[in-house]
Amino acid sequence: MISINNVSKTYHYGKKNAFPALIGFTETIKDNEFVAVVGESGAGKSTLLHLLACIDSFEQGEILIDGKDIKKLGDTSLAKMRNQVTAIVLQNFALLEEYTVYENVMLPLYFFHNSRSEKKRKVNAALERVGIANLYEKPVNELSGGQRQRVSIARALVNSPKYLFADEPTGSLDSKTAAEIMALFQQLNQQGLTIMLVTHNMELAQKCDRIIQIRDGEKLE
Amino acid sequence: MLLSYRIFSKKKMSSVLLVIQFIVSLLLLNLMVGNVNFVTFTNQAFSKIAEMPGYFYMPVNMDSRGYDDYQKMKERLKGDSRILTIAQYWFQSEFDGETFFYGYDDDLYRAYTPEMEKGEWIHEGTGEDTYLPLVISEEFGPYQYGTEFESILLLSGDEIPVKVKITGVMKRPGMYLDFNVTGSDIATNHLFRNHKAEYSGAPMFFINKVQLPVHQEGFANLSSIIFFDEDLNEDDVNFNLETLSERGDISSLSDIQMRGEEYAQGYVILYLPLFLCGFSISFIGMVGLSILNVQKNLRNFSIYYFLGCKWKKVAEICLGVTVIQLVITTVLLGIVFFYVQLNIDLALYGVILNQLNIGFTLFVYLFVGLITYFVPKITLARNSAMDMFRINLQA
Repeated sequence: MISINNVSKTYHYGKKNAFPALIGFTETIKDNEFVAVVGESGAGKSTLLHLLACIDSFEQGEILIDGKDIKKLGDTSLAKMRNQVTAIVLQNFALLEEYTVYENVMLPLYFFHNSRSEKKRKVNAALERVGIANLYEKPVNELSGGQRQRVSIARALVNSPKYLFADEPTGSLDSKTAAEIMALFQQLNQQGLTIMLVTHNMELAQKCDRIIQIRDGEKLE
Repeated sequence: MLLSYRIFSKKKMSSVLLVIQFIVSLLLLNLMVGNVNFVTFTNQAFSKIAEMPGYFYMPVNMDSRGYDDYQKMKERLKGDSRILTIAQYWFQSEFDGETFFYGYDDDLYRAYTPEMEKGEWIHEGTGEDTYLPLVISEEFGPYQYGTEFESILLLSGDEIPVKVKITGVMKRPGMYLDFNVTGSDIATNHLFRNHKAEYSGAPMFFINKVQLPVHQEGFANLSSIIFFDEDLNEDDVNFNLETLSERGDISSLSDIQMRGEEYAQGYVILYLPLFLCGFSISFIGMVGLSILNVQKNLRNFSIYYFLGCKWKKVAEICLGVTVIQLVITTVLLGIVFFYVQLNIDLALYGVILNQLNIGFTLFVYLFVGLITYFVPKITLARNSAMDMFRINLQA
């Protein structure tokens, strides 16, 4: 479970150009939920997602992931959280362009100990899970948008995380591919993965268990 | 290290450019250090000789009549108790070009003691030796430390067989005193030579001339150092100098050293700024390219972070890339120097490579290593991973 209690995040905090992205945000995400976060551009959706994925910091409030206050975690514990408990998928895929599918998906396995055979087994399993096992040798810069997003999802899944945060994962895709990716998320959710999806697309959001609406950094009740 | 290798191999062009930049910078650095080292080296070596009162004497070229003249003058000088010694050497090169004997006078080999790799510099011997102690400029072919062999020396017109044993090996570069020079403006750097066995087929052999089985004079028209008795008064010095100047040029040892220092100073003043400029440009390029390489990878590093990598680990990965580049640089630089040393005797061109070069090279390695470790560490610590990712996306 994830508890977000009164979290505020201000960009350029303490500087002249400071602006608040999240203001006193409170929410709870239950295990195995599929939650959509919607709102206009600049509302603070992505910021919320980045905080939950432990890739950005905040100045006020607390976020508990499985009871652990992420603000109080040290570098190693936080890295372990990003590596094994949470995972993020971004709109622009965030892949290493010169690397192959296999190398991209294997990347998270380098940061904490995994034997060679374990790495191979985990990568193959993740590629199978998202249906791109046949592409493993291809450089990612030769793939289509949909295939690239699948690589990004496979990479997120390789360490079997409990929580997946997806920031506009279908934003760069055509509607058919977007529907396929959404179906994949639904399938993963049914397999037990807790997913939080940031989107502009209300049609996609409505396929989720619950919708959280944000405006100007605040949750709309 | 695996990730470092991946980055290195995926960014081939920038990696190759950086390695080339490293090699150019380090070549310039080594040439600079090697040159400065050379000019200061001979001055240091000569300083012990300059402490002794004496003069360098260079006879003019003589015909047979002049030779007799010279011999007479030399006898006259030798008979003068105020002259300590006329230090000369005798040199023999075998006709097959395989052996090169240098026989130093007592005072000459005592005046300058080179650094030894093995064994000892020329000495008097125990008196009971069945062989002539021999020092070689470097171990080469059959001429190894401890080896005994027989040779034929042409002494006072006769071929005399001698049994010699290699009792010392000079440290490379084997700089030895050899002052058969031309010109009157002698400086310390004119009095030392370097010998390379690869070119001549054998190392240079040094023996104590006094221990030769048959007395052998030095060459008549060869320069010598006249060491005076320390108690010699000024009038006597002037008398001797006058005698010497009848048949050649003379120069005091202290003047020679002074000229050597002036030469070294002039050399450093002339060439050091040039080398420094070249090296600085190259070094700045090298550091700049290293930083640029790190900056270019910031997007990838932010992805590493998203996936569970710590910033410290990212800095270590960057350092790993630099280590790989420097290892390749070292290997290539080693090959370049090995190839150059095989074909050119750098010491002949005023370049000595020794521990000082290795020290400076290691210093550059350390500097570049620190830069590539701390630049990402500081950059990443000051920005969030998302900022870094976005900046690179915009770029």
